[in-house]
Amino acid sequence: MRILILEDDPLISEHLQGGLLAAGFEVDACAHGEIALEQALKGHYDVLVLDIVVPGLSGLDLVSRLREAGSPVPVLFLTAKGSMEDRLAGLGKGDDYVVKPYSLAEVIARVQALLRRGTPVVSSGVQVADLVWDPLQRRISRGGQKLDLTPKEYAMLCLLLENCGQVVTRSQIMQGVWGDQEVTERNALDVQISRLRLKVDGPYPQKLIRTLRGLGVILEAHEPGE
Amino acid sequence: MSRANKSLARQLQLSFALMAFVVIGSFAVIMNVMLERTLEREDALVMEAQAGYLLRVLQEGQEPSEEGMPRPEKSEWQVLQGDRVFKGSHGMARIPDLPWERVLLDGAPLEWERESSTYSMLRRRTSTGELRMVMDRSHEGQLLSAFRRTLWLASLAATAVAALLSWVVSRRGLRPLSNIAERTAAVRPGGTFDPLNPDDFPAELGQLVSVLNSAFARLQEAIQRLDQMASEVAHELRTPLQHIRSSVESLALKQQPVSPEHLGGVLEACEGLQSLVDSMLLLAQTEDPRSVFTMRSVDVSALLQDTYDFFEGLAEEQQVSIQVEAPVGIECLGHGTLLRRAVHNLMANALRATPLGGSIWLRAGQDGHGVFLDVEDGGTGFSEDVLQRLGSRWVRGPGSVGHGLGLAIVMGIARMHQGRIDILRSPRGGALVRLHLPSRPV
Repeated sequence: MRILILEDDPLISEHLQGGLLAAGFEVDACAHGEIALEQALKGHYDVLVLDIVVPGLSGLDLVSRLREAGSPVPVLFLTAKGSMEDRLAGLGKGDDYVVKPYSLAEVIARVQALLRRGTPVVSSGVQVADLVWDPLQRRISRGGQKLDLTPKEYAMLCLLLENCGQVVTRSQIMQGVWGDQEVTERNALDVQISRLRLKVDGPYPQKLIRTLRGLGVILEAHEPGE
Repeated sequence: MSRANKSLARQLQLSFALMAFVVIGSFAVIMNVMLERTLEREDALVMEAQAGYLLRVLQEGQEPSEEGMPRPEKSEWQVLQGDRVFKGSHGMARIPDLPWERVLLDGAPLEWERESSTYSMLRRRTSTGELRMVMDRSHEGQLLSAFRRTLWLASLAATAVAALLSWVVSRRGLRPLSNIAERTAAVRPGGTFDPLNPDDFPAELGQLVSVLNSAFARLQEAIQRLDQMASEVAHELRTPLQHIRSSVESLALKQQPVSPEHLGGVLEACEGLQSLVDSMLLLAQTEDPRSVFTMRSVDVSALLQDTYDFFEGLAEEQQVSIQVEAPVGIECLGHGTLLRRAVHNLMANALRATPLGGSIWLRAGQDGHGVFLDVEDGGTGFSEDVLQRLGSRWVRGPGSVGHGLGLAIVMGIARMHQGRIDILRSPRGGALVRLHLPSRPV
């Protein structure tokens, strides 16, 4: 998977490149809008990660030009809080944004989510250890026992299952379950997560949901005692 | 120089001088005319009296005498019989050659000018011929000229004096303004400002002084608030910064092994910083009239249900129950994300204020003005002291562990929606915060 980064701050760019490389992506980076457009048009990128305010063409103009040229490549925007959220929220499907200062985990999680969009992996269901998700029946069971989940818990667990094996940040959970990225009251969200954990992992020796301090939540299969 | 920048003193000076010139000049013109008419009338009366005397004496066949004739020095006279001069003053020859045919016999005197002299001519019928009288009025013209000259000089002098006086008066009158300017120029941010005493200034400037005093007091208060905010921000930032610094330093010095737990602490400190910065930015946005937000129809009942879903777990942990009373279908015009933030802030405050076993009520409804949205806690309500300062930044309610920006943000969001919040005491004794919002236009 190839990613193009447009970021004019060298330190941030280096940090992003390192993080995305470590996550297994091929990464190109540039610091100038016009050059990025040229590269995006001739290179075959799977996702573009664009800062909005950069020398030359702005990130938003770059995307307009790309769309005019018929490129459907999904874009993740890096934006300052409040300034562009409204406009970015109304972007076409296939695009997303993170608010500065963002965490690397957030960027990686959203890049992975963008890559998965359009691929109907979930319609056929997902199984992690003995946790089974049947999307058609809207049913999640563990060890053959149906889990009794509230609609919000169901949505949260679906999000974790869709991103199985990857960190899901709190703001991703807020966006996916409550419709907006902003974590208004962290304690309340943490209680929701811990209640979900209790329902999913409580009686079972194999714990599937883990909270990674400062990063988010991950759902993955671990052997008991691992 | 633009019109607005003209000197007030100079304008006053010019106005006063012009006014003095016009008033005294008009007075001079009137005086001149009146004097001229009076002299004319007096001369006409003298001539009539002289003519009367001469006609009477001639009819009686006597000789006119200097003693008998009133004011004999003023006129010359002749009596004509046919083409011959029969009698006359001073040997009959001193009467100038004038156009007598223009003077009406037995009519009013006629004025005539010749060789820079003015004459008044009169004709009267006698039993044998006619009496011609002439009065040289040149000396009166000279008298009038001298009078006019004096009046003009007086007008000019009065104008100059008025200009000078107005300059002195305006300088004195404007001096308090200079005082105000000097005192104002000395005002410095962060410095102290001694209010000006309105009683030290003329009544007309007293109001200006009072207005300036209160404007400076407000500015000073704003500067103090900014100073306080800067120090609060610094204080709030210090703790997470210290966590980050200590953790990273100990890692750099290899005092501790790099562990996810350790790094997670650093990340959490970063989150704390981010949350504070985000709150401050949001607050600034809500107070910036240039901020533009797209308003849409927001389902208030769904918003309250969503808030319940989000907080219900935390409330249950704290053994607090949440009651939602919102009829379906209540909608307002607003920004969904901001309203959600406002209600979440109120709810978080309510949870902190409500003791174990207490209840929180979330209510929505409609009144004549629009939509209202209540968050009522089961606490003890705000004390008067806190109530006074609530909504200011960095004021924490009882039990709050937040930054103290929450309610200020809610107020800002209400303002952005052309709404407002009321902070009341509920009948159950807790705090009741009511958010008023405009209804969705039909």
